[in-house]
Amino acid sequence: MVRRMIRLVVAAAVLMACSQTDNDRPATLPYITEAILQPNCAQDVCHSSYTMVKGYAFDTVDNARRSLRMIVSKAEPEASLLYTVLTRNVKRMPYDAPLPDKDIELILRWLQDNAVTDLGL
Amino acid sequence: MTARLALAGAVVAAVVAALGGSARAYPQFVLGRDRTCTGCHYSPAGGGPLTENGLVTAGAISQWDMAPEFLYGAVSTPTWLTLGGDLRAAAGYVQSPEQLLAAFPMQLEATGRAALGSGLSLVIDLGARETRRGAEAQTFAWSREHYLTWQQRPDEAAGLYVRAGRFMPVFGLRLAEHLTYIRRWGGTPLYGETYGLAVEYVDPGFEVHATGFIADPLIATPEHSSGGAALGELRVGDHLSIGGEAMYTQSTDDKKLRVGALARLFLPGPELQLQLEGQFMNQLIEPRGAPKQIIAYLLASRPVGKALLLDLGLGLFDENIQITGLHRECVDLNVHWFATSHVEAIVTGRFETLAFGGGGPSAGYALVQAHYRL
Repeated sequence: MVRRMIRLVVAAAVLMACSQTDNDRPATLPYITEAILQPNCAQDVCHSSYTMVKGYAFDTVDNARRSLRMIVSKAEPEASLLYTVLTRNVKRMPYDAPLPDKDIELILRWLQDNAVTDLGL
Repeated sequence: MTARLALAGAVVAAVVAALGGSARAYPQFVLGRDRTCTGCHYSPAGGGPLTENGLVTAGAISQWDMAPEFLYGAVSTPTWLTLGGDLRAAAGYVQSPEQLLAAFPMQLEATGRAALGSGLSLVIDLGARETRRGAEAQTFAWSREHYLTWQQRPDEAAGLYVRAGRFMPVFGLRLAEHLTYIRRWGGTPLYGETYGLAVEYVDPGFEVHATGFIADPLIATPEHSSGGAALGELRVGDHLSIGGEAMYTQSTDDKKLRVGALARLFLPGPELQLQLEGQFMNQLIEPRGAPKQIIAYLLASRPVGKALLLDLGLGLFDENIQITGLHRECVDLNVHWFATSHVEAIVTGRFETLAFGGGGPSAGYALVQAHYRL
C-alpha cells in the first residue's frame, strides 16, 4: 500500500515536471494582480488598501487598476515606474523578497501588450 | 543629501513594515513540553494570554527565573482577569538585494482576558500598527484580536471551544514567525486576522478546528476573502502527531483551495523536534488563469542548555508548478535566548534563492530581535 502511494506520488511529480511550460501565463490585469502583485506587494503593512504605502494598493484588481494608472507609462512601457522598481538594484521592490525574473518578464509583456487597454489609458 | 536621507528613510520604513510582527508562543514546545497549545494558552489555537502553566513554563525555560506574572506580580488582578502584553523590536542587516542596516519596532500590544462565568471569556488586544497615509490619527492603533469564547470545561485545557470575533483562522503548524513560507504564502500571513466563528475540540490525543470567516468589513485584510478552514491533528503515541488541513477562500477576484498535511515528531534522545507542513494550492483567477502552488516548510528545533532554543528551517515555495523557474527556497536559522520569564532575545537569519540562484537575485537577512512580555 505504502509502495503504491510512493509510486503514485513519484508518477505525479514526474508528470508535473514534464508538463511544465516556459512562461505562457495570461498577461492580463486580473492575473498579474492576483498571482503576482497581491501576494508579493499587498501585505497588510505595505500596498494593501488599508495601509496604502506611497498611495498604492494592489490587493484587489480594482485597487491595482487605480494604482497602476499612476505608475504605467503609455508611451514607453519599459520606462514605467512599475517596471523600474522591480528591476533596479537600489530600493528594489518587493524589498523583502525580490520577484522571480519570469514574473517580471510577464509584467513587462503585460505592459507592452495589454496595459493600455486594461488600465484604460 | 536630503533626497538620499529620504530614500534611506523610505527603504527602512518599508523594511519595518515587512518585518513587523506579533509575538506568539512556540509550537516548538508542543510534544516536547506540552501536548497541546492549551497547555500554556487560554486560546485553543495558541497565542495570546498565558495560563498558569504557561507562566510556570516561561519561568522554567529561562536563564534567570523571575516572577513570570504580569508586571512581575507587582500589580495584582482579580482572578477573573488576565492581563499581558508584548513589546518587540529588531535591528540588523537586510539584503533584498540592496544591502542595508535597519532598526525598527515590531510589536506594541496589550492584551486582556476576562472570564465571564459559565465557560464564557472575552479576549481583547489593543496595540499600535502601521498607519495609513493621510489618516495617521485614525489608524495608529487597532485591536488585532477580539473574540468571545465558550469553553465546555473551563477548568481543563481540553474539550469543546466555540469562538466568535476577530482572530486568525486556525490553519497549519501555527508557527510564530510570520515570514516562514507556510505563513507568508500559506493562508495565514501577518495581520491575516478577520471576523469568524470557530468550533474547536482539543484533547491530548487529537484536536480539530473548523473556522468560517468573512472578509473584514472594517479593515481590509491582505487576503480580502471569505471562506472556511479546517485542521485536524492526531497524536500517534507520545512523540508523533500527524494532521491534515484544507482552506477555501473566495474574493471578488479569485478563488483559492488549499489542502495540506502536517506532522510533528519529537525525538526524546537528542531532544529534537521536527515539524513539517506541505500545502498544495489551486487558485482560480477570473476570467483566465489557474496557478497551482506548492508551499512546504520543515523546522527542526532543539533546546541547548536551560535557556537556548535553536531552530533550523527549510522552506520551498513554488508559485506556479506549471511554469519552470518560479520556485524559491530558503534556509532559516533562529537562536532564541530566554533570558528571564519576561525577556527573550532572538538572532534570526535567512538566506533565500530563486530557482537555486537561476531565477533572480538572492535575498536574506540577519536580525536581532528583543522581546519583552509584560
